Amino acid sequence: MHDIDEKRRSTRRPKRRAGLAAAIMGLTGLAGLTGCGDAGMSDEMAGAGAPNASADAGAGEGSGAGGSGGQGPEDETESLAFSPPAVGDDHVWVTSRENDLLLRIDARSRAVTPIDVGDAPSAVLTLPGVERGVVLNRGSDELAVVDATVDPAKVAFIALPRHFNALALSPDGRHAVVWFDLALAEVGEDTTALQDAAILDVEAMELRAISTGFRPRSPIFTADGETCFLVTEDGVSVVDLAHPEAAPRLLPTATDPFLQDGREVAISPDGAYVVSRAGAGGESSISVLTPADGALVEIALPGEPTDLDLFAEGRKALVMLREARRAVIVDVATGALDVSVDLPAALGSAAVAPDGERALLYTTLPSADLSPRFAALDLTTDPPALTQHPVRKEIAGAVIDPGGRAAWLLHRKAEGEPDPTLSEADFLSRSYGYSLVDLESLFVRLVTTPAEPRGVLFSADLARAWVPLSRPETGVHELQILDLDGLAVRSVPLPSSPEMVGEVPSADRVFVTQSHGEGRISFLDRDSERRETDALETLSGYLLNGRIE
Amino acid sequence: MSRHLWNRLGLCGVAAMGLLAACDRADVWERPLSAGEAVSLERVVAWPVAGRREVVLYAPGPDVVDRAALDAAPRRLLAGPDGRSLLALDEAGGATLLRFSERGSVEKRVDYDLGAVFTGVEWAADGHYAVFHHGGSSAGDTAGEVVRNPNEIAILDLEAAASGTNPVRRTLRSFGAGPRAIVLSGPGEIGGAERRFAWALSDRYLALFDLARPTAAEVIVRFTLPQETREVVPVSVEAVPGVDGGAPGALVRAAGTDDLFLLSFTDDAAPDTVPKPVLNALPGSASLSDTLSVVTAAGLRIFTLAGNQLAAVDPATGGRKGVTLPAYGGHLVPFTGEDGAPQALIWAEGQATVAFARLNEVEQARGRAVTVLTLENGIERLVPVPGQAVAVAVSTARLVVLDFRAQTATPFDIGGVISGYGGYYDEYGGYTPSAGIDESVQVSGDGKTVYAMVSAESPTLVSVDLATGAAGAFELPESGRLMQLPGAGRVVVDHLDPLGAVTVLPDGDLGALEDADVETHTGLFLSEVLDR
Repeated sequence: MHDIDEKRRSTRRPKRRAGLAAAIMGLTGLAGLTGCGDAGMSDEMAGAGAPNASADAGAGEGSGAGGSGGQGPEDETESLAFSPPAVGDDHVWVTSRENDLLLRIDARSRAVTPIDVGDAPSAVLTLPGVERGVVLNRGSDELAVVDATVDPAKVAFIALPRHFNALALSPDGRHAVVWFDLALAEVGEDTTALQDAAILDVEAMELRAISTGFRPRSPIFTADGETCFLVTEDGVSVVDLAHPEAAPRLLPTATDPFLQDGREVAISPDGAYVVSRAGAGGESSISVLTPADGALVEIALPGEPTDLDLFAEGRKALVMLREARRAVIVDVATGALDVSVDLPAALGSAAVAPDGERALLYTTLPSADLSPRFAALDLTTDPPALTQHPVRKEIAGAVIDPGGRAAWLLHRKAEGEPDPTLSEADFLSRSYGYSLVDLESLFVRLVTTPAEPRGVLFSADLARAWVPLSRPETGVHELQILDLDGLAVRSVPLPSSPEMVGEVPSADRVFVTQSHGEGRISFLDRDSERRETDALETLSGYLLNGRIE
Repeated sequence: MSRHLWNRLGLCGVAAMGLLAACDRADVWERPLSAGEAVSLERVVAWPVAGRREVVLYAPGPDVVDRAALDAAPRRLLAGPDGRSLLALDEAGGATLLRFSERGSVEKRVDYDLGAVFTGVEWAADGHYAVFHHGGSSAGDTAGEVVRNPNEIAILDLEAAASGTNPVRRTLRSFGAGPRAIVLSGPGEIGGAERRFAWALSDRYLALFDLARPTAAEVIVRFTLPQETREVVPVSVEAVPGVDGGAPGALVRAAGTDDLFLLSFTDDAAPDTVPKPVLNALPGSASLSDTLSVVTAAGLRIFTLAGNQLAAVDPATGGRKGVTLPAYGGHLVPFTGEDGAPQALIWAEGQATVAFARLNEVEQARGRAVTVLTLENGIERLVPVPGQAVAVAVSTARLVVLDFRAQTATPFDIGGVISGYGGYYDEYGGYTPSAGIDESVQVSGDGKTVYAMVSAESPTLVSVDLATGAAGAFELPESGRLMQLPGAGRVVVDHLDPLGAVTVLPDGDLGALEDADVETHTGLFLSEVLDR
């Protein structure tokens, strides 16, 4: 699930839900990893289910993309991955911190099964497709490994060496990683583990404590699950998961140690290359680290990079040079600039389709001189063909669906209410909304919405997407269902403000968690053709089910 | 008529006094009879006479007075739901079950030892079980016992003999207080096993136990999270029908929250345990006055009434759609329309306007699903007519027969004041009916006749035939409490005399009665006199 505009929400997500006990975290398979349109893994994606996926270049610190010319950084909202919820086989897993319980909610019957897991469980992640997961008990500083494939569920506890508040799980479910995320810290909490992490081998039930660079972010795992990268402010900590006896290595990602902090980092799926750029600008280059030998190479560019995206195998990188009005494709292995495309406008951001055949170029910076637009870059031709296309509202972020067929553009909203008596331009600028783009035909469908879009989740079968909307001051809360074939849109009203959307593929259901003092979750058949208002099934107060004994 | 009756009363009284004066059992006068409130069954009226440690039974059909002696003074009598059973609770913690024959005589008696003096008792609607508890009593109110366990209950199987395991005495888990009330659900099936749920309502939680499995551990359902300090007190439990063959559930209303709590069950509960429900908090309303669970054309819906707002809540989606009513509504009375669709009458004490809501249409048609009927006077009380979509609205010196389907209101003016009438409005506009009005207007069990106790020049019993509209009246020697004995074809007025006095009238139109049709009996509690 892509939570657009994470910057505005990063300080709200861990704290805004005062009184809300559940934190749902985890993987939903494809949607979690590839939905943001980058085939390579970037630090922006925050890997597998990080609790507070950081923006690029620092955890929510707003450093954003660098840029010269005094225009400021691009909002890297296209890669702000919303931590997907925890889904086992056919249950949604949520923690009930106040009750010291893990709750498994059956996606079909909505029955709630509580499991005792320890003191103040704050995060849970599940192994893909099976009713097993790992819970971080923030109150008792331990991990609880839960096997709910048996009845009653078995729970094994592992004590942690330090106090941590963040949890990640490798895609194969073999390793769990915990660390301390300062952005998630609560007043009075032990905040001393700023250069520590721990890795649990879930199968062997062996824990390994490691030192890292300063303030590690959410880990990134290689496709084979044998290596874990923790991007820090001192470089990248490389952890060999296959050889736990090997000490982690801290490798710099910048040749200038004073430009080490705040970098946007992208890692190839095989872990062969770590590519980065300065988040605050000041460098007309990117750096390529080869973790195998620790070699660090700086590749000069004809301008300051404002965005960096790796292609599928991670051997090529698309780098946006906004002020230079260029997009370049760099061979990270050789350092060669394979392609240089002149841009007709100052576009500083890009989203690359997972198959690497297309890229969407755009800018998130408002401009009185530049009408809103995007440019589609066809990477299958030589040279790549660039086609500009107007949109009706300024773009705040963009995501390409995992199938590469469609793009979802989040639009910016101007101050004021959308008064239809105003001019069309003023009316649209004041409206919330997003656009759907058919990347084949470049047909654009603008969808103005009554409330703020909170992100997008693409279905695993790539047939549809879901966009939660919320506007608390008017009480408008909806889940919009997007048909990616025909770009049709329909809405389902929600009882309260949506927080997270996820899929339960084995049950063919989608769920939406919402703000509610005692927990609220709604389920929808994934391909329901029933009337929207009839399709939603809601369970409110699921936390209270943990108190039925 | 009245002069003849008075003459009879006077003669009887003189005779009684004379006999008593000649009686050599002085303790008849020295020990008070202390008769308590009577209960009526199908064919029998029963009084607890504490002073005599007995229950006095009067069967007007054969005109027989009988007595059932108890080991201790009776505290309270309960009429069984079948109209042929009576439970007498005594001051020593005993419960005596009496079952009556067609003629009104005792054909079976079972004495149970409850082991404690309980203040509360709930009798299941099918008469199978009774649950005894201390609900409603406060700290320090120990009914004379030195120590009392407020969480102690007794589950009595009234179809089984008394034994060491019947009743089952147990203590419910407690978290500081005892249950304030216990509500019994009808039988239902979950997971292929019959369940007889009982809900014990306490502060901030309720306990669910199963009468059919009286020793199985109860399930505790709480309505707040541990860190919450607000008081959410369950106040009522209403059965919710199962949908599509699903198990029935329960709807809990609570004070301290606007939410309604729907408790539903899955079929995977172990048969020998009390199943844990799934709780779903539904949007209710502030100042909720009534709820109604109905299976509509669209599925199960929970209708809520709060002020002038009627809302339909879909328990599946949690969605809520409301309708603004033209007047304040306090109660929902369900009925089936002529087309078989579910409808409800909406009324409130003190309001002259009633509304009829077509429940299938509330969510779609909103206000157009409601029609309104305005009477001349505010309604003091509404008495449903059993088996019909009809009720009698009691207003100022007027009975109004409301036909829900026809949406008509037929008034019958009373030349007097219906006994106990005289409610009042408070400074906030709220209306409180007077005490005693609850029983002054009654509908016969066959739904044919309405009776009303009226204070005219003299106490009078009024009847209205609901089919023909024929009205009649009969003067009574004294005012009293109206009771119906449909099995005996009688209406009985208990004159609340300390020695026991009743007037017996035949069912039906009172206007056609002659004096000879009516009998008055006095001194019912005086066994020594009658023995002689």
